[in-house]
Amino acid sequence: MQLNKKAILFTIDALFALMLCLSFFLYINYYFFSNDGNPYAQYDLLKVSEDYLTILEKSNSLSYILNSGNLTYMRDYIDTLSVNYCANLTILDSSNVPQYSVSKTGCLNSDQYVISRRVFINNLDPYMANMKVWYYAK
Amino acid sequence: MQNKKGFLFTLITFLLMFSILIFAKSYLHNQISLSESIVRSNSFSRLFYIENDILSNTFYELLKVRLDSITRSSDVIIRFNHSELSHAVAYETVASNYKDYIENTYSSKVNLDIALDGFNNSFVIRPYNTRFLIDGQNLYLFFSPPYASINSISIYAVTNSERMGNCDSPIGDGSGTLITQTFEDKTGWTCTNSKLLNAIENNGKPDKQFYLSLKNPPGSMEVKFGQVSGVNGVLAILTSNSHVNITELSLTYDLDPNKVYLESGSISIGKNKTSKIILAQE
Repeated sequence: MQLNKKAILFTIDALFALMLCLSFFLYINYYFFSNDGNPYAQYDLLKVSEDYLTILEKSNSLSYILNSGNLTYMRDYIDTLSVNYCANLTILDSSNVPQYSVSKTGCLNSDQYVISRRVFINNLDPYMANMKVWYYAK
Repeated sequence: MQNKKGFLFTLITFLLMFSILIFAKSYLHNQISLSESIVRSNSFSRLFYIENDILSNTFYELLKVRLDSITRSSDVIIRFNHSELSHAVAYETVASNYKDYIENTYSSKVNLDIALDGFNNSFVIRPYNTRFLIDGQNLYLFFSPPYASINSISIYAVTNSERMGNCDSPIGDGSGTLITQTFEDKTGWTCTNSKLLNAIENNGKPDKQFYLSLKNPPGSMEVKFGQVSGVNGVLAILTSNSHVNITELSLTYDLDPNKVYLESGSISIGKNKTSKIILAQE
C-alpha cells in the first residue's frame, strides 16, 4: 500500500513536470513563430508583396490602372490575395504624388506591415507602385 | 542514508538542469543561424529583385526598341522588330530622366545607393562592338573597324505620312555591305532597293542615299550607309517631320565564336553588387 501511494505520487509528479515542460516549449514556440515581428513572417509578407507587384507590372496591369483609372479592377485584383493577408496598393508618379490607392476589402490597418515597391514606365515616364502587406487580424 | 538521498537528489537536479541548459543553448544557436541565413537569403533576393525591377523590359518601354531574335548558322543574324522614330520624342531625355529617377527617388525609397553608369539612349552589340543609338527622329549604328564582319543590313520602315514621288537609291560601290531598304507609306505603297555599299565611302549624293520625300505632313525618310558626317562605318536611318516605325532591322555578321549580347553600361546597387546591364543575350 505504501509502495502504490509512492508510485501514484511519482506518476503525478512526472505528469506535472511533463506539462510544465510542454507549456514552456509552447510558450517559446509562440514567442518565436508569432506573426508579430519575427523574421520569417516579415520574409513571407515581403515575398507575397514582391510577387504580386511583379505580376502586376509584367501583365501591364499597373499601366492599365493608371491609364484607365479603373479602381474596381485594382480592388478586384488585390482582393484575390489569400484570406490571411491584407494589403494596400498605391501608385505614385515621378514626383511621389499618389495617383491611385486601394485597400483589400474587409481589412483593418495594422502596425506590423511590410512595403514593397515596383517601378514601371507609362508613356515614357517612371511611376512607382507601393504595396503594403500585413497579416489579417479580426 | 539521508545524506545519500540528498546527494542523489542534487545530482539528478543538476543533470536535469544541465540538459535543459544545453538544449536551450542549442535551440538558441539554431534559431540565430536560421535567422542569419534568412536575412542573407533575403538580402540576395532583394538585390536581385531591385535589379530586375529597374532593368526588366526597360529599354523597350523607354526607347521602343525590341529585339526579335539572334540566330546563328553560317553567320549571325540579329533582328530587331520594333523601333519608333518620331520628332515628338527625345529619347536621350527620356533615358536621362529615368536614370535620375532611379538614382535619386527610387534609391532613397529602397534605402540603397544605386548608380546606372553609362545608361543612356544607346547600347553596344557585343562581340561586334556595334553601337546602336536612337535619338528621336534618327537611329544610328556605329560599326567598328574592320567593317568586313558586317555582311548585310535589311531595313523595313513604315511611315504614317504619304509618299511624294519615288524612292531614290545610291549608286552602288560594287563591293562592301549589302544594304536592302524597303519604305512603306500610309497607303501601303512600298519601294524596295538593294545596293552593295562600302563602309568607308561617302555615299551621299550629295546628302542623301536611300531617300523618300513625304507629304501630309511634308517630311522625309532616308537610309545612309558608309561615311556619315565624316565618320566611317555608320548606318543612319534619318526621318524628318514624320512618325516612322522600323518593323525590321536585320544585321548579318560573320560568325564569331563568342556569344552575342547587348550591353548598356553597368548598374551598382549598394556597395557589393555591380554588374553589366545586359539587355539580351544569345
